[in-house]
Amino acid sequence: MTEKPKGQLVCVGPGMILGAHITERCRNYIQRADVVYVSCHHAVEEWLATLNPDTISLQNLYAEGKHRRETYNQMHQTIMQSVREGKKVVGCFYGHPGVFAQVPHWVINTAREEGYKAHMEPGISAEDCLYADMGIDPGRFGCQHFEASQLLFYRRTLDPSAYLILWQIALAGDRSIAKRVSSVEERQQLVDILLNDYPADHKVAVYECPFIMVEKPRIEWFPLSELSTYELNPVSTLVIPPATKMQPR
Amino acid sequence: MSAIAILEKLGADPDADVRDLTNEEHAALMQKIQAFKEINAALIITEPDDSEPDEEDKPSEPSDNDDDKA
Ligand SMILES: C[S@@+](CC[C@H](N)C(=O)[O-])C[C@H]1O[C@@H](n2cnc3c(N)ncnc32)[C@H](O)[C@@H]1O
Repeated sequence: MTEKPKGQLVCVGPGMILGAHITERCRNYIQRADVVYVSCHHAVEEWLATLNPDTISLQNLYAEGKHRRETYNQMHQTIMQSVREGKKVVGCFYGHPGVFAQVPHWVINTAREEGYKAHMEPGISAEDCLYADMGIDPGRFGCQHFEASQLLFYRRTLDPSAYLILWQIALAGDRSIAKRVSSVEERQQLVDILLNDYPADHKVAVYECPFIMVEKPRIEWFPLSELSTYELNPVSTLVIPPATKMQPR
Repeated sequence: MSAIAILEKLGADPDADVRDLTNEEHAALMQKIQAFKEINAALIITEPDDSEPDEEDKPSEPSDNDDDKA
């Protein structure tokens, strides 16, 4: 039997709020790693560097106007190179490393295909904070989650009797994959699609969880019709409560 | 305590309170928070199509490996 190669990889998430959400296990992985690659809020990255001095930010791989896929390829290559060098590697991605983040899944698959030990540890995601801060139980009416642009690019079936959570709402409709925020026109197309299932005055909320404990969550309610011009950030998540009652069978 | 250590304590300790900081600590913390606000971190984004950057557009299959959640 051939021995497994020496390098190993674990992708972890420190949660959303600096110091508040990290698991003991995640902290131990970080502290014991030969190298930690991080893609988190700057404050969190600075904190992670205090846990392990061999912490390297992946932020410098992003650039304005650069194709995001090129950035992901470089992240993948950078992490894999250290694994192939036989190092104990940690990839640390904010929130939960496997929630709306492709690189961690991708790099774990590659490492395994090449015979290395690789796995993911869960973390507290924006979704978890949203349920807590907004008092939503996804089990009450059900809850659908979509990447916002998928509603524009693909036929998806919405259930307006359940909650609808749209991730990356600030980027909705951006096909350039080089931008950070989409245009009013691109977002209006999303509004038009949502208007098939929801009334224009249906109240929706923008949710932003803070990254440090001294800040408060942003929860702002406004009518769906205002979505195309409402102030959104790359970290905004849109919450659309049910608009209809569940229909008895 | 450094500003980052204060933020870690505020995150981890439910009894920690900014009002208990010394004037110097408070000033260092506010300065740090302001600095963070000025940095526009490009947080990792997921793409609307399901493919990995090098792959064809196909949904990922569950693997045989129990650990594989991809
Ligand atoms: C690429 S995903 C990363 C999600 C992250 N891995 C997690 O576990 O929450 C980015 C999207 O997550 C959501 N998100 C990220 N940070 C957030 C925050 N601070 N508050 C609310 N939603 C957030 C937004 O929908 C954002 O566009």
